[in-house]
Amino acid sequence: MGNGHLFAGADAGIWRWRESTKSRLLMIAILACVILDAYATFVMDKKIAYAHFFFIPVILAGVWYYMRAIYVASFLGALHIFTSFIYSDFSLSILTLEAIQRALVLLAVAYLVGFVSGEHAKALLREEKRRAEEIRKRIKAERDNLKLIFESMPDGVYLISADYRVEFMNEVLRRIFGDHVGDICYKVFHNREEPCPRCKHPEVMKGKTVRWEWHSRRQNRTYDLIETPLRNADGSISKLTIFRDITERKKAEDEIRKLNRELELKVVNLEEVTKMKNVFLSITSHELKTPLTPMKAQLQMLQEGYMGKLSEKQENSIEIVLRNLARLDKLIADILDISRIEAGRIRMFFKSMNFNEAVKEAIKTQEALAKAKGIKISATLADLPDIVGDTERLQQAIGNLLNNAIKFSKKSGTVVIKTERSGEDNILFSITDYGIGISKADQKKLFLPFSQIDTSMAREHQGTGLGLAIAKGIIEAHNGKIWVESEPGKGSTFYFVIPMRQKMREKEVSYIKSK
Amino acid sequence: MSKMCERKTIMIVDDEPDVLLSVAQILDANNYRTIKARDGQECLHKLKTESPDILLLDIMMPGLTTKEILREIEKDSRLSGMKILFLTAVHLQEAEEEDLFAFKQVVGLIGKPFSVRELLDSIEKAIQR
Repeated sequence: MGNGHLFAGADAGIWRWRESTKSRLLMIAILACVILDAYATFVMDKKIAYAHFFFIPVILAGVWYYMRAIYVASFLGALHIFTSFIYSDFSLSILTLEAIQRALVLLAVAYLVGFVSGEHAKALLREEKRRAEEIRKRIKAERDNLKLIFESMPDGVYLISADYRVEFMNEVLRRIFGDHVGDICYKVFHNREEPCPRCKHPEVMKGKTVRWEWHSRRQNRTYDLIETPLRNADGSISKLTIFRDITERKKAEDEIRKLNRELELKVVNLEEVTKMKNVFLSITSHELKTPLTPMKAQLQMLQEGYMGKLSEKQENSIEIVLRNLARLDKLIADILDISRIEAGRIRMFFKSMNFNEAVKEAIKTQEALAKAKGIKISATLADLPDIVGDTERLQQAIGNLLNNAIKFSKKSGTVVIKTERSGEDNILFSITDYGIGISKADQKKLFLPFSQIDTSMAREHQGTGLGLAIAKGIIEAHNGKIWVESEPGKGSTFYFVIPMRQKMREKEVSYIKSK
Repeated sequence: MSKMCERKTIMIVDDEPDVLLSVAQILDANNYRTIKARDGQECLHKLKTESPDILLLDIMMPGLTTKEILREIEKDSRLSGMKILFLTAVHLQEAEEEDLFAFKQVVGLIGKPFSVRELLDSIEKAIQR
């Protein structure tokens, strides 16, 4: 005999009906047998065979209620004997004996069916239990594995049940909070009497995975939390939380943000300073040039005899002043140019031009200097198509290179200029002097502003050290490249290559140095 | 060298007295009639009664801006034949330069400090336009 509740669950197949249906059906079957017995005995005079119908409720009871079928068999058997006894006028007639025989058969059948069903049910149950146990073992093994992983993680891991109880805390957490498995999470972690207002527990319980940051004022630390629902073997849901202390990271991020802000401010400041410097330079150059105008005008008028004839000595004296005035004028212009180049704000006025003409004009501007030193300028100019460029500026660049070449040439030397096509789209300009040459170390600084090779030379050659830097700025503003090949003692060749076509024609272009 | 043909009138406008004086000296010596003005206001005032052939205009002066001066000149049909040359110490890199050259009467620019020759050549070229 077993527990009806326990066995009920082991029913299988079509017999898996509801308990109430089964018991109703059984009652109906038993009642039907009772009525049938009474009818067959007292109405039909036992002239029909009906006793075999009794097997129906007995078998049903055996299948559904196992050994309890014996009760049903006993009841129906007893009823059958009794009715037969009454029919036989309360004597032990053949009928009564037959009835006893049938009752015994009923009992036997009840026992058999009940036993077999019961054993079958027990076997099924054992199998299910075994399977359930296997699953439980597997889940436990997985859980233990998980726990091992959690224990070895550097992050804090904990499991909270639906009712806020701590089911598991890993080593990291135990170290911080102590072992509080079984306690209420908000008490353990937050020392609160009720769930935290920002707690994601309700969301997670609904099946959502949440990731968020929590700042603990108590500890003054910030944590990154990942909270996810975990389904248990029994179907309940626990909240798995993995959290990481990101205080240091946040500090670093804040530091970076702060540095960025400072940098931005510095950049803005720098932009302001550069703007101011440019405005200052524009104004200053105007102010510096203004007195030069009447100075030059007056001296030239003197020189040209507007104020009367001059003696030779007076003429020479004026010549010296004018020469230095020109130097001053050039210096101011160069300083303005270089400051604009450095600020990336030198403007080119591109239009169609003849490059060789620009070379010739540049040569003209340096003729006096060349003549004074006895330097011969030889130019081999290839037949070039018109290009797009800023005539004045290219002339300035070539002039600066030529000026340099003349200054560093020996007396009565030669300077050779060459122009040629380079590939399909470019022009190559080169200027060679046979002067003192430039060492590899100096070559590196050559195109920087104010880097004359040494100060004594600078003084001797009356240079400002800006010519090459300006030339570089102009060439680069033409999307070109400038470089030098030199050997100390042998001389130097300066090259630059520029494209024949510029992207913008007949419009001023703003040259941005580094983009 | 002075021109032997009819005497042309040149108005010089510059806020620097020495520049004004020097330019006037050069032009006077070269047989030009000169009118001086120290700023835009004085220039426009004098232009009401004078019709110079050439106007030498400094472009960085206090008071009225160059554009304002040019706009006023444009309005006066009497002055439509006057040619304008800019005198400038600053290398004009502002976009403004294009705007200034958009005025029809502007024919050129003389960079300061200029040489006597440059000044006279520019003026001669302007007259012949």
